[in-house]
Amino acid sequence: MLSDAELVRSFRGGDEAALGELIERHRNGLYAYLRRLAGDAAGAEDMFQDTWVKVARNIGAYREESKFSAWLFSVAHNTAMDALRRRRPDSVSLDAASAGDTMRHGVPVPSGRPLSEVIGSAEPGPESSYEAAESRRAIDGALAALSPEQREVFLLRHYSGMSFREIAETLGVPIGTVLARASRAAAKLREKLAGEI
Amino acid sequence: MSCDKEGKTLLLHYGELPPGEADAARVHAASCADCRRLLAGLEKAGALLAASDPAAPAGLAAAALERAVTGGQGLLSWLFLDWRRAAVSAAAAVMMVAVFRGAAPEPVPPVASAATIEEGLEDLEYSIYQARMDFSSRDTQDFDYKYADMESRKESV
Repeated sequence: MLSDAELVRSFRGGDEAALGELIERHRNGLYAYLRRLAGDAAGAEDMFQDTWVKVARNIGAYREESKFSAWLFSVAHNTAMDALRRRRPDSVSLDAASAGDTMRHGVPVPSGRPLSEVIGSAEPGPESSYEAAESRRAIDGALAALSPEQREVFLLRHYSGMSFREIAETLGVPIGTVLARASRAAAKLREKLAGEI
Repeated sequence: MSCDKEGKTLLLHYGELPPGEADAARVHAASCADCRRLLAGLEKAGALLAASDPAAPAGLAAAALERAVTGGQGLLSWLFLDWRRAAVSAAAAVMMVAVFRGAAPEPVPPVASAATIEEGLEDLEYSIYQARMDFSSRDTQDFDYKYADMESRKESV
């Protein structure tokens, strides 16, 4: 199997299928990350596509010394932040609003199951669907207790596999700030998930 | 934060400690109830995220590829994206008409940025945390973190 860096090289050489392979490889992790940030499926899909457009346009800026996934998630993060900044607090998606979500600092804070997931779950059987819903309820509740900055660091670390140093570079804040946010996020998650452990 | 080694435990969980320090952090965590709870919380959060992560919708990857290589001229990307933008534009146009036909909207008063205040508070709290860490660690990674933090503070001053 070709590495991400080899696929990037092929794409730079004009092989569009190599980009397709990269998208396929990072599809679920990237989508899950964006879905958590966007708070709704439509927003996450927009961000997902916008991210890959930027990746294709700026592939020359990627340096092979760093992990492609770290670069990809930093592009995705910036794309998501641009999109969320463009959203006005009163323009929460129907999904989020109908599930009782709230906005904090312009970022949707999920507090329940989005309508689209209630209606359109389906694929897994009833038991696993129930378990997934329970997991979602527990983790959404815990994540909602974090500040947007703490949540941002926690989700980036979880989904992107970036080191805290790389996250600090992506966010443009000192490493100490990133570690402080991560520590506080971990402490709050520990507290909120105490009953689940 | 109740144990002054929770920072190390956090780095241990994410595999960001060098092997020697990782061993020491593991030994510490085994005998520290706070750090064990922290690790359990992080593991539980990771497991819950994995169990509830939605899969990307079928067709999204193909649409993204098409849009990335064509600049958004294809049918797939229209199906996944452009119709929504068209709907948003139409809604915006209707709202514009409504606004011009009605009274001018109330100006929005400037609001102090809670995010900025919170970030400042977090920096302060981290300074206290770092001061405590000074007495409990001497490794180069911590030094790098502290150095980068202090450099940044110096620049802002």
